[in-house]
Amino acid sequence: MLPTTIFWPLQEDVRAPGVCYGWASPTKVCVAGRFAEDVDLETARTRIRALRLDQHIQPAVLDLPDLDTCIIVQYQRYPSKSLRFYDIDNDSLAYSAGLDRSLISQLNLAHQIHSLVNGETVKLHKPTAAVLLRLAATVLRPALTLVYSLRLSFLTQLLPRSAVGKQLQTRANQVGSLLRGIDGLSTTSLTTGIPEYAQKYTAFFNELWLILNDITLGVAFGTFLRDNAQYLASTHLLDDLEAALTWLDSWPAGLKLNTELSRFYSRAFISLVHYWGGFLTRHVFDHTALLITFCGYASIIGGLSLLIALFIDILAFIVTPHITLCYRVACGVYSLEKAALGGLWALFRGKRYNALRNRMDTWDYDIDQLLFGTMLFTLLTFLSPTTMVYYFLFALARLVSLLIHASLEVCLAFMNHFPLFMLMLKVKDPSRIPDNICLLPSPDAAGNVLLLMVCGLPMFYAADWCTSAL
Amino acid sequence: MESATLTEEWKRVLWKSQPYPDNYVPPEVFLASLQRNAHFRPYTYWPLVFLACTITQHVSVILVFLGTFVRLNEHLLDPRTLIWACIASFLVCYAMWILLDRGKRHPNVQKSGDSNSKNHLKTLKSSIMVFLTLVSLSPVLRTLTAATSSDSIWALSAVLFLLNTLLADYTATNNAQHGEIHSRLTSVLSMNAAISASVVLASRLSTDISVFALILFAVLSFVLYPIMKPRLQGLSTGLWLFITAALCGFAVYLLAPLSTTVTAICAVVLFSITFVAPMLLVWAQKYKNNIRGPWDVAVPKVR
Repeated sequence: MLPTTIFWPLQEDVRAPGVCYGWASPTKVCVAGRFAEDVDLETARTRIRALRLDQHIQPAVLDLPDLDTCIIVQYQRYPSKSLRFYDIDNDSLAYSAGLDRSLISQLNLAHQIHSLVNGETVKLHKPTAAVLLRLAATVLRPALTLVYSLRLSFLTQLLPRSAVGKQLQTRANQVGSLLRGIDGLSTTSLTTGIPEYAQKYTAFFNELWLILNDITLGVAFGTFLRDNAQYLASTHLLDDLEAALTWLDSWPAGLKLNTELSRFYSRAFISLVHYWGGFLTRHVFDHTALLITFCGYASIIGGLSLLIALFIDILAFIVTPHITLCYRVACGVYSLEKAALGGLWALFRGKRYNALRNRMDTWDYDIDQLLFGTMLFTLLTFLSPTTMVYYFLFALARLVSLLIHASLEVCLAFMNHFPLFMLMLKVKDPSRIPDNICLLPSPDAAGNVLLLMVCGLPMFYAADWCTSAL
Repeated sequence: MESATLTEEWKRVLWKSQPYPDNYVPPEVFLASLQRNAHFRPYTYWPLVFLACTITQHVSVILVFLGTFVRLNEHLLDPRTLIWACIASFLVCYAMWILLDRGKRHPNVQKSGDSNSKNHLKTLKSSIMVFLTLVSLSPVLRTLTAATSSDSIWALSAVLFLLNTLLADYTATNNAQHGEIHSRLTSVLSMNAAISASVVLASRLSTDISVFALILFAVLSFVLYPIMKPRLQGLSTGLWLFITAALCGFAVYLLAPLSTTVTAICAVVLFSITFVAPMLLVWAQKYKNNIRGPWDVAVPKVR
C-alpha cells in the first residue's frame, strides 16, 4: 500500500495537538488549518458544516493517519489579499509526484477557508487598489460608458484599411474590457478563486496603466508638434525619387541600359511623380502646418498611439502612393518579361512546356513561329537589364516605405499591448505570476526528518531559481 | 615428371582436376574468334568530297552573309538592291520548290497533291507575314544594342555563328520529304543561333531599311536555304557541284576588296574543308581498329 501524502500549511506546526480540517482523498490529504486545542470534535464538525459552501470545495474534519507513516509536503498558505497563488504547467514533472489541478486549487483556497472558519473577513485586494477601484467605479465608469457607447464603428467601416480606424477600434475594445474589469473586480464572492481574480486584476491595471502612459506621452508629443508646426512644415520629400530616375537615365554605373526604353521609362515615371507632386503642392503642402497642428491635437486627445496611427495613414495615403503605383507598374512589366523570356528560351531550344505532364517536351514549331520567337527572344534579352534596373529601383523604394510602415506598426502594437504590469510584478512580487510548481527537500527543525516543500516557480524563471530561492 | 603432366591434354571442363593454372587458355584457341573492322567499307576520296560540299556551302553562306553585312555597314551596298535581290531569289526558290514537288508527285496519289498545294499557299502567307513583321520591327532592332560596345557584339555573333555551324544538320538524303522532317527535329537550335546572330549584327547598322534588308537576307540564307539544300542535292550532281563552286567563288569575291588577309584565310578554310579534310579522313582510315568478338553484347538482327 502506498503511503498517504499529507499537504500541510507552513504556518501550522505539524506536531501540535488539535482537530484539523481540509480535503481528503484515498491517497492525498490536504490540510487547510487546525482548530484551537480546546475545540472538541463535535463542535468542529458543526462549525465546518455551518460554512455551507459548494459541493466541490466544502472542507471536512480530517481523521489523520499516523504521521510517521506518511509523506509530509509543506506548502505556503498564501494570504488571500496578497494575490499570490500556485499554478501548474500542463507538462510539469510534478504530476508524477501526485500534484494535480484539483489539489492546486485546494492549496489556493486554503487561506480563504481558514479565514472563514475563524470568522475573519476575506479581502481579495490591498487598500490602495481598493481605493483606486472605488474611484474607477464612481468617476471613470460613466465617462468610459459614454466613450464606449460612441464607439464610432462607422469610422472603421468608412476607412477599412486605415490605421486610424483600427486604432479607434482597438481603443474602444480596450475601454470595453476596462468596463468589464471594473465590474468583475468589484463584485466578488467569498470563495472567488484567487488565480482568476489575480488574472483579471493584472489585466485591468495593465490596460489602465498603458492608456495613462499613452495619454501622457501623447500630450507631450502633441504639444511639441503644435508648437513647432511651422518649422516642420518646411521640409520636402519628393525630390529624391526624381533625382534617382534622372540618374538612371544617364547610363549610370556602367549599366548597359537601352537608351530609348530607359528614356521612355524615366519620362513616364517622372511625369507620374510630377503629377502627384503637383497635386500635393496644390492641395496639401499649403496646409501642412494645419495638418501638423491637427496631428498635435489628435495626439493630445487620443494619445501617442493615435498619433502613430495618423502618421501611418499619412505615409500610406499621402506621401507614398506614387511609389506604390510606380512599383506596381514596374513589377508588372518585369514579371511579364520574365515569363516571356522563359517561354521564348524554351522555343529557342525547340522545346515546349507540356502542362499535362509538367515537363519540357521537344516540339515541332513552324518556321515562322521560330523566326518570330527567336527575334523576340533576342529583343527581350537585350531589353531586360533596363526593365530589371527600374524594377529594382522601385522595389527598393517600396521596401524602404514598407520597413518604415512596419516599424511604426510595431511601435503601435507596443503602445497598445505591452505587458508593463506583468514586468513590474516580476520585479516586485514574482509569486503573483506563477507558471509552474516544483518539490524541494526541506529538513525540519530537528534536522532528521526529511520533509518536502511545494515551491512556486514564477514566469520566465531561470533554471537555478528554486535552489537560489531556498 | 613435368613432361608427363604436360602431355595430359587440357579440356574445357570444370569437374576434372587438371595440371594447368586456372587462367590457362590454349594458344590455338586464344583470340581465335577476334574480328577486326568487321563490316568496314572504306571511304573513297571523291564521294567524300561530294559529301563535304554541303559543309563548304554552309560556311560560304555565312561568309557571304558577313561580307554583305560589312558592305551594308560601310554604306558600300544600297540596301534597296539587297531587298530586291532577296525578293527575286525568294520567288525563284518558291517557283522551283513548286516545280520540284509537282515533278515528284505520283499520279495515283491525289490527296497528297492537294495537301502540297495547301502547304505552298500557307508558306506564301507566312512569308508575307514575316516580311511585314520585319518591316515593323526594324526600328526597334536598330536601336537595340546602342549602349553595348561593338567588341562584345562581334564576340557574341561569332559565338552564335560557331554554334550554328557546329549544330547544323549536314545529313545528305535523297528523300526530300523524309529529310525535311529530320532537319526540323535536329537543327532548330542551329537556325535560332544564326537568326539571333544576324539580329545582333543588324542592330549595329545605321538606317532602318538596311536593318530590314540584312534580316531579310538572313532569313533567306539561314532558314530557307537549309530547307532547299537537300532537295538540290538530290536533284543532280552537276548542279550541286556548280552551286558549291559558285557560292565559294561569291564568298571570296565579296571578301576580296575588304581585306586580303581575311580573304586568304577564308579561301584556305574553304579549300581545306572541301579537299584536305576528306583526304585526312581517308588517310586516317588505316588506323581504324574496331575489335569485335563473341564477348560483345549481342546485336539483334532486324529483317
